[in-house]
Amino acid sequence: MTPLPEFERRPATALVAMANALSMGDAIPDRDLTRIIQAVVSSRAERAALLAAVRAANDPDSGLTVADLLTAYAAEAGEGEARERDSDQVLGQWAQRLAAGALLASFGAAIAGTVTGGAAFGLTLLSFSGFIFSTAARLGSRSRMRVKAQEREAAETLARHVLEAAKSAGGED
Amino acid sequence: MFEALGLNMGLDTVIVSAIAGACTLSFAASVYLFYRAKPQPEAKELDDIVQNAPYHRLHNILKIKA
Repeated sequence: MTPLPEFERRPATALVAMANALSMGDAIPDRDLTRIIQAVVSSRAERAALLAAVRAANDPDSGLTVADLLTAYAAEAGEGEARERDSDQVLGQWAQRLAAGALLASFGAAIAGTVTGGAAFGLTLLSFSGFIFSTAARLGSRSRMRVKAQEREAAETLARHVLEAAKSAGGED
Repeated sequence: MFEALGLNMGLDTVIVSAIAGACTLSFAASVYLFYRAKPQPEAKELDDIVQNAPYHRLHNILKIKA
């Protein structure tokens, strides 16, 4: 029988250790766990290391726990994505529309001559900068939404693969 | 305009304040969106967490380099 491979201290093995500690009743701070899962999910090397560690583990249950933690993280990321989308649709879109409407209104008022001079110029400038500002805010919020969606998908895929790896855990026997 | 309400405003005042109000709302919503985006401050460094993970629980399950 070949000797078991030794693993380094890295996020992937830290995640397996935390999963085991959790299943034995130890308390792990939520933020640490989330941070570790984030680090594992976002790096290809860590994903590969995690699969190798789960496959080499002598206890098939540890793979199951890791997969469950990953699924919980994916659900959390999905929740964050939905919240981001809600705020974009409820606030971001309407901020943009409001600013665009104000821009058109200030143009109209200036053309009709209701508002003249410095006031017309100031209003146009104000609503134009408001439009640009709200567009920038929406861009940022949409990119965060995309990041969350990517994290969710990555965590879901990794959880599936970890389950597969756990089936062949302790491969040599 | 609005004399019936006892207000003595010209049309230009109404239009200017309406546009300024719309812009204020739009700015407020954008500021809120930006404010939400601020990431939570990290409590600890990733390296710290990795080094202090409960590796002793992997005893007999996985060999970890000391």
